[in-house]
Amino acid sequence: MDLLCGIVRWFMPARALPDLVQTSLSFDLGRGRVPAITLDPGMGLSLLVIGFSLLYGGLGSLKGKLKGGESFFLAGSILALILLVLQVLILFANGVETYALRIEDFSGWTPLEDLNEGLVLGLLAIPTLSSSAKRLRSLRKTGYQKD
Amino acid sequence: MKRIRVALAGNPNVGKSVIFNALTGGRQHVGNWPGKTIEKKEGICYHRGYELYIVDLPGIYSLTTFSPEELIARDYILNEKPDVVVNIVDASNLRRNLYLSIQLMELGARLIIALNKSDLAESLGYEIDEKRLEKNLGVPVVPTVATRKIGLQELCDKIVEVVERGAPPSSITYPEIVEAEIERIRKVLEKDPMIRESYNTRWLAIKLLEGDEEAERRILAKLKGG
Amino acid sequence: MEELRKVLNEAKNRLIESFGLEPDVLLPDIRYRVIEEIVSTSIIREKVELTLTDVIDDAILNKYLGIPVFLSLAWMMFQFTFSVAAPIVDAVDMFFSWIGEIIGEYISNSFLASFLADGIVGGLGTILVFVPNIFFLFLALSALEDSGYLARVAFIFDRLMRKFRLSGRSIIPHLIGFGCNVPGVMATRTIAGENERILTAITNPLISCSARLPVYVLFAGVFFPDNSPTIIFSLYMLGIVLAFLISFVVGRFFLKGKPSPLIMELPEYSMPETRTLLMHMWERGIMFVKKAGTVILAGVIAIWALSNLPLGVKSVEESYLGILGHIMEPLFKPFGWDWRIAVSIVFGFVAKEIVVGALGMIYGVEEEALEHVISQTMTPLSAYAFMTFVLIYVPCVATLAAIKGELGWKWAIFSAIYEVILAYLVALMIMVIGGVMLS
Repeated sequence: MDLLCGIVRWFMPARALPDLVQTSLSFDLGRGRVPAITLDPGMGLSLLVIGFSLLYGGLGSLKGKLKGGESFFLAGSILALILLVLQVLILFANGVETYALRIEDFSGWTPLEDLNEGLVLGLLAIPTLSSSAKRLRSLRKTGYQKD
Repeated sequence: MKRIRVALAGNPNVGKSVIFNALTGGRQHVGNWPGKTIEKKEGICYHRGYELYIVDLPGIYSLTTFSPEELIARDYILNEKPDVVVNIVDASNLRRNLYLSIQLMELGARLIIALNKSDLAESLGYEIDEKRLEKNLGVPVVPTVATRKIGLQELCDKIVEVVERGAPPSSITYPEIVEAEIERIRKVLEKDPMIRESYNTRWLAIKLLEGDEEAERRILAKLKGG
Repeated sequence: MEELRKVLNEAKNRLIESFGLEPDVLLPDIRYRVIEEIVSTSIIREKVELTLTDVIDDAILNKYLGIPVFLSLAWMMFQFTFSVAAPIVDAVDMFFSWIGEIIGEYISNSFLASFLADGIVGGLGTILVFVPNIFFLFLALSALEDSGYLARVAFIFDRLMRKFRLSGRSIIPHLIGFGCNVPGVMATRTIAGENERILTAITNPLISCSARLPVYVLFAGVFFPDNSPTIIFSLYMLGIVLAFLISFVVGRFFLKGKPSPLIMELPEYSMPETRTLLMHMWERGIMFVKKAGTVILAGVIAIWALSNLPLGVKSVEESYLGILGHIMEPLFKPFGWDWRIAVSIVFGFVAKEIVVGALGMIYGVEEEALEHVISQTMTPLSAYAFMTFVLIYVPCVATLAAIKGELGWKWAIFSAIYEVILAYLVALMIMVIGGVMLS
């Protein structure tokens, strides 16, 4: 079980890394050609923050740190979860606009269009969150220690 | 037998009822505060030749006029003027609990602090210097662990001692400028004999300054004649 | 009794002078400090155990991560408010257009038809179209508040805000202001010190509310097609910078007293309860609809009347509104705006989203053609100046009403006046600097 958690812990930050790269690119507002990546600084920032938290937190957590380790991982996971909920809602709303309301702006939209990095990272948040919760619960039994 | 009237005050969940029950045992009576649906508990305890008549006030966080519980507590202390108010304080949550203590001191109550849940505080890693606390507050502090009946004797001793000694009520001193204003207001209040008799004018002055509606109401009522 | 009141008032004033705080805030503040003093000297060792809240806060309140986390959450909140609410907004919009058409078909008297369709339905439509956004905004805000996060925001920004004579709590109304200034101003009620409350409320209108966005999008799209997001972003930034600047200036020179120290108890994080959330959302939403709604409706009807009278008038130019525009035209000569723009500015006083619709009506064209027409009548520079002007000038009536509600007439009028002057000055500066840079 612990091994699985360990693997999951490593996997998450690794997965976050490509997202980090992608999103730093989406910041490239004025700097020339940015191929086929959505120009969305808000999403970019969120992904950066989450990715960083997970990476930094994951590394610290492996070193056994609670503050500066697990805490960041947990916070990152929670944020990712919120992002997931948001993306799902947007997906749903866009769907309503396309199919129910027939707004012209949306003709030709399919759900696939909205499958973006935010959604993916958000989905990954579920296992990270549960693994984090598991670790914290076991820590709590022995009492949190102030580092 | 001489009677000492004691009121128990404190935040909710600090162990007030435990202390009340431990002190009064079977000699208690549960009713309602007049005109309200809030429970009123009163009981008797005998100690060193005195009869301690104890009233358990509702659990409150402060003495503003927002909730009926707070009003009940305020009114009781102001009108009934108990001889001693035992403020039960949760040692593991000092700051929040002391906020009420300060306001009780402003009310002019003769205060004794029962520092309850000392065992919990200790297990959490707290270490509290009670003597220092007593000195800083200017009010007696008795550590207790109500659930294990520790400190209760000492508490009753202290109650008797405070009454026998005739200790004056204490209060906190605000910065000079503020005190000056309070004094000015107090002087005006003192001019009216009705007000002077019925209320602790310092408390009234502070409350009026704060814009406390209940205090304003009381003054109007008194001035109108009653 | 009278003497008592007099002494009390004098005391209150003297205390405000010395401490910058009203007594009802000052006294609890002192009590807390006394307690802190007592406790810190009496406690030898504090608790060792960390709660889950402490763990999370380690990341959330982190020096470097705190603000980015906040920005992410703020972005998510706005995405939620606009993108997710969009279908409802569009549905409402479609509904009102449909009603307008029906009225046009079934009522023969064109004056009455116009009154009903453009005046009443148009007015209601204007309000109701952004009501869904407002409700979603309040829902998101309630979630942030009930979970305990909002208190952290105030804490994180506190030190920064002090430099501008504000407290950390001022950030929240400004954040709300990005959605709409009206609830933003209303939110200043929760700010403790009177000075901070005033400063936050009067600078809130400088924060670009969502109503200004249609204007920005239209003009930026026409005049700066390659860079429109950047231009729009610059306008938002300008608003924020001005808000802090004005806050500092007014605070330093017009108000007495220093900013109040903030003692905050950060509540434990907790999962907000759905029922409480919905209740909060509903209460605040309805209050907004009532307050803003009535004001805007009245404003739209008034504008409609001005533009359609005297009776039988053929074009906007000949109506009272047009006359007003012509009167105002000389004021705007330095910017190269004509009377039509001037008229749309008057419209904007009622509600800033109306400006685009107003321009359409004045030029007598549909929205697509509007872009073409505008590009003929302005230069990019004057367009930028125009957008800046819209950003800064007089808060919309609803916001003014909110300011009056929170601070009274004096400050409401002050806001209106200083903003118009500021708007004029800044727009002028832009024209001058731009003119120098371009030649």
